[in-house]
Amino acid sequence: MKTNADVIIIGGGIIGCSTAYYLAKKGKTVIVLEKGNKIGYGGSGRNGGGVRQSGRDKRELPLAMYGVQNLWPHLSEELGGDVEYYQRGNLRLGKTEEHLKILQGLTDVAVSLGLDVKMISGEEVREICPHLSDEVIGASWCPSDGHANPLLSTLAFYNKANALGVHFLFEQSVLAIKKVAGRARTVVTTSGEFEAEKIVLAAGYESQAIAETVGVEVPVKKIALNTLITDAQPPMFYQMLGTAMADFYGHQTTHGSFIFGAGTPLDSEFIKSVVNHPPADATAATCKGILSYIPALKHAKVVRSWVGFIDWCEDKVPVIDHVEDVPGLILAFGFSGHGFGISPAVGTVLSEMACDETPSIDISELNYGRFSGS
Amino acid sequence: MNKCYDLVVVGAGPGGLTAAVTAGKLGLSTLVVDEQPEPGGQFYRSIERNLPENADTLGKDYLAGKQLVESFRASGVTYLPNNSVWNIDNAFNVDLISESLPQRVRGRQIIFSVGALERPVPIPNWTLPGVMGAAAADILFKSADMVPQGPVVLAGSGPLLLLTACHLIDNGVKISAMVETAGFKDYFKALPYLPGALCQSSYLLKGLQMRLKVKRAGVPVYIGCRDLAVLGKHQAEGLTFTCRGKQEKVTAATVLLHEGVVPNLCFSRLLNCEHEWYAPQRYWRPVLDRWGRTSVPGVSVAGDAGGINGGPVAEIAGRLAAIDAACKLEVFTKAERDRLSQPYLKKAHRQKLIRPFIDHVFPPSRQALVPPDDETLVCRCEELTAGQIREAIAQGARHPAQVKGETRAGMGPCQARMCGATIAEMIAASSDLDIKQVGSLRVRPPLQPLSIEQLANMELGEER
Repeated sequence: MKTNADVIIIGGGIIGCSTAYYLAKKGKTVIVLEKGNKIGYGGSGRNGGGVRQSGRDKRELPLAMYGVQNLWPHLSEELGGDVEYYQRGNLRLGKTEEHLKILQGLTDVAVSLGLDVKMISGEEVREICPHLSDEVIGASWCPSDGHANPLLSTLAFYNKANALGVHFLFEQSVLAIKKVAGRARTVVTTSGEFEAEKIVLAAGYESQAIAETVGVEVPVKKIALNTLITDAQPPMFYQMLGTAMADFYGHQTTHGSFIFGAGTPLDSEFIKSVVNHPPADATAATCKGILSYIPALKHAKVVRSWVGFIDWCEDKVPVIDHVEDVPGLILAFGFSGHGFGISPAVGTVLSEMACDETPSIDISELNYGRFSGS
Repeated sequence: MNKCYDLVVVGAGPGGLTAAVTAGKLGLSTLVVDEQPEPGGQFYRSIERNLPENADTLGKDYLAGKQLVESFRASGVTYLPNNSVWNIDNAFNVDLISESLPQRVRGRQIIFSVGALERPVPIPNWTLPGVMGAAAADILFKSADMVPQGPVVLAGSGPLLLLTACHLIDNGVKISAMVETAGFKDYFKALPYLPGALCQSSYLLKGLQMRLKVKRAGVPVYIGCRDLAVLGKHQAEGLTFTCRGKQEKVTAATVLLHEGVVPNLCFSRLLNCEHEWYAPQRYWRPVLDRWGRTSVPGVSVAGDAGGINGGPVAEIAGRLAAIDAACKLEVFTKAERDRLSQPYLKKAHRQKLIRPFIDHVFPPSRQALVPPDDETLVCRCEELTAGQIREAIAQGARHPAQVKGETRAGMGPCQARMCGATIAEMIAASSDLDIKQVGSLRVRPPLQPLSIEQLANMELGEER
């Protein structure tokens, strides 16, 4: 088993896999330590696949826009596996004046940062997507948004990284990061020690416990969200849908099934107690939302529902930064449920940071220092 | 308010019915939920309305169910036939769906007695019309007095294959051959377990009688067969196989395949109970104590869903689980439970002595576990072949969930009930991983597909 490399990445989710890929492309040797026995076990394998720019916090918008402009359009080709990327726009729907006000606020910010998003009327909404209910009176519309298949995207990064010689080690539960001569240098797992010049911590909701071992503290917590998927429907529409109140979001996949995620966090303690499946009432609530916006889906059958745990950061954007007190350590967690769409851009930036290059995307506002100010 | 019961029993087969009758007698408010329209499960399928002229064919063991069902009907236990459980949550809210209204009940204790499933037999052309499971064919006979169109070829391994053959012979159906994948070497391997089996000599005797019946009927029997493949293009026309190095061909209108039955784990998996690998029959089963308790407090399993032991053992297990449930609900002390259950624990132990022998005589064939050719369909819902699964494994998938992510295998409505075990065996066969390390796919609610409208309109009480 290989125990040293240029870079160690903790976490085999899409952030870890994409970073590993971009590093391998730069000729670096990489070890990925994954706690579980499979790739993408956390949020990467359970999310709704949005590749959105609209509706994002302005601090992470540059990552989202860079990805949509430069990475997603040719990702399938580059990785040699279809990631089912569709760039057919995102509709964020509103049913009340109150909703429209929220949407207008989000739109104004995005426009000021150069995003092609605008408010449209209910009629215009139904011209774009005729299946939506008459109750929808307006929406924000971002034509360059889209969606992709999170499982296939994660596995495509993994497969390509694997082919380029990245070492993926499974069932490596990280106990601690250890400093040597003042630098983060060693990663201790339940089965051994690994050494590298740079350590990227991208382990989702497991990250904070590991960060703590070198005195790093990021205000993140584990939050549970539910998702469901239907059986295959005839092709209906390929826009990404969301709502002003974030009650649900979703899209139709290449396979024909619809995947929908809920925006309301579940009671984590209840979820964890025996089984981590969505309680029936959570699934019912999501279905109520779907039915009220897309009545045409009333006969679509839900075949599975599941819970995903996310690394919810106090201010809802991730930390992507070096740590001054712990040179050699790079933080990349706290994605707060919207990490999938920006993952190729984040991987790009992290690969640059691990090579001591200046990031080609502005991530200055995702710094670690923002929590120490107060 | 949702109705809350002391005990909710899922399944109305021998285990569930006995558990319910016992619990009722012990004063527990008890509900039995079952998918079928009438009590009996698969073992005593349609016991209340079976034709007297079939009595001889179905035999003593089956007819014993009549008394059990009668006492169940007389027990006053609440019974919801035609209802499927589609979810159970951490507070033991049990969500039901039927042709009428969905409803939610709650149980303070839960017993799953959901039986077994026939192991899928993925051999070339196993999905052609005219091919079915031998146990499935037998259920058609019990419930609808229907027998398959002859000539029939029976192929595979397991006592049910023999039993089905006997039922067909009694019904005058022509059997063109019995093609057994188990061989002499399996009998040798089973020899160490023979002394235990001799304590249950009535079973052995029954087995010999069935063998004799097949022989008397003049059915050609091939043993130690390999390379099975169903013949036909649009409809099954027969079976080819290799026997003692020779390629054989049998024509038939119906091909009945069987490689044993495996525990129905959908509920124990849904509730994250701990499971263990049972190597002789290559299946997972929940870890249970002597009373059928799982690793999840309040949840017990009785009968084949906890490991294949057959109907009579399921009845004892149902009784033990109900006695234990009453103890957990503080109807009586542990000492009282132990006193009440002593004779049944002994009986269960005795009855299980035959199992190791049967399980070694009839191992599932290697071919049925890991399809050697690439064209055989593995995931029926998503129409994926063994070749496609193998390709994903070659790419580096070391867990069924990763194969699922790459190929969609197991994403269909059956949630990998058909292909899950095959994919795990294929990963173990082509990697350095032991089957126990490979892991399984999660079972997710809803346990059966429900429409968005059905789910949206569900009235679910807040009971936590």
